[in-house]
Amino acid sequence: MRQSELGRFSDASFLILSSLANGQKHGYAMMEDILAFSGTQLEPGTLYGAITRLEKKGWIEALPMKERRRPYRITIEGVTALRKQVATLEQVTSVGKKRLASLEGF
Amino acid sequence: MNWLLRLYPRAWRERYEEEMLGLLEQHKVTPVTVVDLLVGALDANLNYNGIAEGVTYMADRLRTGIVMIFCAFMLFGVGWSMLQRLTDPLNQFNAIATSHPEFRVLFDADFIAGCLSFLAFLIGGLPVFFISVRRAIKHKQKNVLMPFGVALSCLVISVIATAVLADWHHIAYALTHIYVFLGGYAVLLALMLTIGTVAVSLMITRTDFQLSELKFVFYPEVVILFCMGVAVVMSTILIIAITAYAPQLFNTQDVGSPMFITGLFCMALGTIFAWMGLKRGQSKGLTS
Repeated sequence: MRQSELGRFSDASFLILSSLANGQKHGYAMMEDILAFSGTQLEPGTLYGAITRLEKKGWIEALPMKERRRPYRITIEGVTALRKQVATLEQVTSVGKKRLASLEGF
Repeated sequence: MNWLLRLYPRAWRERYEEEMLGLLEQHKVTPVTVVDLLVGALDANLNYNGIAEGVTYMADRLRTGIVMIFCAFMLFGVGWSMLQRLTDPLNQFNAIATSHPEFRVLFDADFIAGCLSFLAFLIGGLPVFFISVRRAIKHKQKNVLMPFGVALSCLVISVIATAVLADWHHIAYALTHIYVFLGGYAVLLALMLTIGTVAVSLMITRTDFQLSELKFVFYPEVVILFCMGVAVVMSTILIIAITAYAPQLFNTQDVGSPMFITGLFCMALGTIFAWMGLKRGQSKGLTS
């Protein structure tokens, strides 16, 4: 996953991909879902900045608009990218846990 | 919030404004939201060119794919035409097909697959060709009209040459030098086909198609490729069967087995190129 292309939107992109991983959602539904599972309130500017990048990279795709709401869904490439990022985060988490364990007593 | 969205570039607004407004109607707008939208507008002005770039990219890929499939089909057509001589002389083929009915089944299947692929080629290709010509005439695009003239000339020359060949019994030179006459016709036809193919490819390459004009060719392309594949498989089995059970069929009035092997090779090569062309045209979103 080339994070550099996502810039400041890399965290938002990860959250969006995670949100879309359990089904298609429109922008507002994504914001609500992300708030629910991560506690992060994404603002519309950040959300759509990330959506444009993810769409351009082919990691998500837009579906036909319904009543001023356009649903998005994750693509196969998006799933692959999300898997890689989750694996990286798991590795970081594992290292973090081990190092925290060695700090017991502080 | 409309005024804030006006700060975004036009291309961005054409794509996202409506859904963003729909979202903002549901979202509680705070000063943080305003700042976020301002930063988003700045970012979009600096970085957004996604959709225009994407559409052009997709149209380019699709157009290149069409040109590849067109050239591949021409190559396939040459090979397929060569294999049609397997029934020459017809009496001999019919006699052998009586004891080996599978020969006729395979030959007919190859013939039908070739005809269906040609039909799909016309259905998919003619609209693209006419759009190219119409647009070139409308905009007086010399770089498209010139190859169109060349392609048309090639077609006319080929038709005249074929008409002359059909009347060979009345041509004194042909009566005395039949192989030179036939060879000359074959060379002329190959030349016209090559030049015509290049000319039409240039026409398509130099025309600015809209994505919507090219998207519909995907399905004819799939049919073309499928039929080409079927024809190659049938022809391969037929050639193997003939080699094993009736090699005399390779010796027609004027050609031998090398022509049929070459024909099969051209068909297979054309099918591979067509598959590559189809893959090239399959950018994300083109078929949805």
